[in-house]
Order: sequence, then structure tokens, then C-alpha cells
Amino acid sequence: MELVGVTAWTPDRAAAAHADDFDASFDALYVAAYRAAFRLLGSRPDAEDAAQEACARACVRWRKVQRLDAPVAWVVRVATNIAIDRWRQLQRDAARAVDAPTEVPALDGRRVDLHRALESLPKRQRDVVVLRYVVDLSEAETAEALGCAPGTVKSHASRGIAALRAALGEEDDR
Amino acid sequence: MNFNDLDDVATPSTADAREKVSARARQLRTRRRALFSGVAATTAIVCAFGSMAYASDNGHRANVAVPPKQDETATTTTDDGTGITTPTTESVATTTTIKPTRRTHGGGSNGPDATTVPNRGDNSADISMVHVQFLRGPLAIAGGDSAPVSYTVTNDGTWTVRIPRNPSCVGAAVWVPEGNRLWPVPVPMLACTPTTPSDPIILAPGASYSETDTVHAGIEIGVGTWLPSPPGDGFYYPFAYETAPFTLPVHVTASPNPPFTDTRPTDVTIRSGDSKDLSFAVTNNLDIEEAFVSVGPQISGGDNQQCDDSPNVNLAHCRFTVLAHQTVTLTAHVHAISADSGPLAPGEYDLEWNELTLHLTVTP
Repeated sequence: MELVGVTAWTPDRAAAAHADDFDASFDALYVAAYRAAFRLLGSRPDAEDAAQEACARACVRWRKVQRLDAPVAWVVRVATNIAIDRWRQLQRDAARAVDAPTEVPALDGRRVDLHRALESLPKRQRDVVVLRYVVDLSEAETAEALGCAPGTVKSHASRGIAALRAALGEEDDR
Repeated sequence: MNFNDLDDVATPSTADAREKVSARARQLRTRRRALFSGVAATTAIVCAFGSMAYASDNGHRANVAVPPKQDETATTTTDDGTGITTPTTESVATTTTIKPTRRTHGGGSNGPDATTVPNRGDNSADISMVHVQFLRGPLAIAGGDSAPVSYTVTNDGTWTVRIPRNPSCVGAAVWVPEGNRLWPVPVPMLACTPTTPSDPIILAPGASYSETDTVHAGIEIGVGTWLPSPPGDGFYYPFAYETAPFTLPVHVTASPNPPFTDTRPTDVTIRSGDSKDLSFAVTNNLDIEEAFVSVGPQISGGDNQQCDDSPNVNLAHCRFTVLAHQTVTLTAHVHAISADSGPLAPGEYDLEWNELTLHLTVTP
């Protein structure tokens, strides 16, 4: 068996070559990731954790990420994925917390509603709605983050936000 | 819809975060190296088994199915959609080789064989040795119907486990994602409040617990009112775990009593460059109001409007409501024009419209 791909891989050297670029971009990446995660989680420690993890993944893959038109969008997407996973974990913890109520803080009611509404959307719609509306990325940035055409973003976003509004019981604010 | 009020009032410190991110990046690189090594080792094992099977076939020996042992695991990778893979390990055993004395909600001295089960002490959160056996195969059920499902959950570990259940958040409601299909939006859903008193199952080592639950192919949108699920594949999960082996696949078939009736043309003939109006009627068959989101045949403009606001509104992505047992008639405008606004070339076209096909014949 050949293990060429394993032995030739030197991530530390690759990362070091681009460390300066990543360092220069770090503040923008981190702030955007934190903001996205905080909107979904409402907790500073949890949002910091999600933002740090997203930035660390960007750092490891910086060679590819920096070639994107909107590296920030990529990092924001990763942060939102982590935040949504973290939210699910918090929900499970909260469900268990009845037996030990001091272990888990109560979840913010508005975010509970938001996540429940998001969960009712098909996955692609949910991805688009989170990035386009919850995190406020542009159509182009959302398309970049999801690897699809802006037109696809537009169609998913329109239907998704309509479904989200319906699920949240909100009227149009046109 | 504005989410600005969900922002943090403070700005995070990037200086503090830099060191932590750097440390995490180092950990990730280490994990990726470990993952590459793991894949190489797995490949070697598969190759070895492949060679053995080939030799056996040549020797005209019968194939023998060997059930997996309880502690066999499979290494897989998950991708969060960003191209980043992380290793996960889960049990793939479907046959239990450890047979502890079964008791319900009890446990005691007759636990499983201590030589084959890791002894981790009393760890109530570790469910790695908990197994669920559904007393039936995959379930097929019509949308809106319900069916009983019995299961037995067994603690094959040597420690007491607590398995969280929250009846209002998990379990009996199976809902297949509607995709682009026209289907009532399930609102208002009955609230799933995580602080609702949970009903955990506590199992001593070797103990088991049996339950029969009623699975509904739909979502309760009012007390006693169930909106049938769209047809398709979903799953039932009685506990707070949405992964195998805690899930039972459920195939939802079309409801004999659909929540709405959708009447619309399937074929239309139109001259190139012309426009035509098509009537499209939706009847609510339920006793409560239904909300819909339409995916129309046109996809330009018309960003999230009420379908019935104006006769000229685009039916793409608009939403509308239908009162109980009422019918709403909408008008779709079909334009035989191309993307560059010129006349559409004569021919046959299929347009996807809420996952139904509208066959369009364009004449010169």
C-alpha cells in the first residue's frame, strides 16, 4: 500500500507560509464569526468558543480559504454550523437539567423560538436563511459560503424567510 | 425581519482570542494527521478481508454471515459542509453478544460479564453501552395516522445510566421535510419547552425498560389537532438522541385524508411571447386555518409577498392562508418569454411548480 499522500503532507509548513495572511485577516474573521454565533446562542462564552473553533478551522485550511472571494463568509458559515450544533446540545442539556436545575442556564425565549422555526425549514433553506437574514450576509456572500449561485440563494431565501415568518407568527414588514 | 437586537452590546476581544485560536489550530492539525493515519490502517484491513473472501470463493466454500461483536466499532467521517472532516466512532453492532439478566427499572448483582464490558464506574451520562431494540422493523404509516411502537432499552454497561426523555420535545411526532412541495406550514406548533419536567429513565447495570409509544405521522398544531406529515422518509426517536440505535426509520405514505386539495392545470398551450393566466385553487380540508408558502413557476422578483395582496404578485415564494374548509383561488401568470426577455422558442417545456410539473406547449 502506498502512503504517499500521508507522508508528503506537511501542514505546519503550509500553515506557516500563510500565517501572515491569516494574521492580517484574523480580526475581521473573528468579529464576524463571533457576531454570527452570538446572534444564534446569546452567550458570550459559547459564542467565543464557536468563533475560535471556526477561526482555527480557517487557519488550518487557510491556503484554500484565502482564495475564496469572501473568506469571511466561509468562516461565518462554519461558526453558524458550530453554533447550531451547540444550541442543540444546550437544548439537550436543558432537557436533562430538570434533575439538576443549577447545571444549565435557562435558554433565551426568543432564541428558542428562532431555533425552533429554523429547525422546521429544509436544510438548504435553513442554511440560506441563517446566513442571509440572521447573520446579514449579502446574497453574493451567502452564495460564496454555500457554494451555489446567487439566484439559488435568492429563491431559497425568499421561500425560507416566508416560512420562517410564518413559523414565528410574524407578519410581513414590507 | 430584523435580528439586530440579538447582537452582543460588547465587542469581543480579538487579542485574547488569537492565542486560543492558534492553540486550537495546532490541535486540529494533529487530529488531521491522526485521521489520515487511521484511514490508511482501515484500508489495509479491508484489503486483507477482500483477499480472504476471494480465496474462499475459489475454494467453493459457502459464505458465512458473521454477526458483529458488541464492541465492534466503525470509524467514519462527518463533514459539516465546509470540507472539514472529523473522526467519529459509533457502535455498528446489531446483534447483542452480551446477555445480562434482564430486569425492568432494577438492576443488581446479575450484571453483564465484567470481562467483556468496560467498567467505567458510575457514569450516568455515558450511554455507550445502552442498546435499544424496537420490536418491529421500519415502520410504514400514512400521513396523519398513528401506530404503536414497542421498544426495549437495555443497559449493558456496568454503571447506572440516566437516559433523558422529554415528552414535549422528542419522540412521537414524525415529520418529513416538505422540500419544495406545497404543504401547510406546521404552525402553531405546540411549544417544545426544554424546561418541561423530563421523565428520565434510570437503568441500573443489566437492567432494561420496555415501553409502547404511539407514533404520529404528523405534528400536533393544536391540542388534539394533527397536521399530517408530507409523504417521505423520517424517523421516530423516543429519547433525546436522534442517532442510531435510538431511532426507528418511518416511511410516511400519502395521507388518505390530505390536509388540503390542490387543483391546478397540468398542461397549457401558449403562443411564443404571450402571457396566460392560470387558476390555481387550494382547499383547506382541516378544521383550522392553514398557512402555505408557494413556490411558483416564476422565480424572478416577488420577494416574499402575500400571494393575495395583488392580482399581479408573483406566485414564487409568496405565502397565503386558507381558513378552515375554505378555498382560495390564485392566478398564476405564465409568460412565454426567455431569460433575455425575448419570445420563448416554440417547443415543449416542463416547469416545476411546487414540485408538480406544468407542461407548457409553446406555439409560434
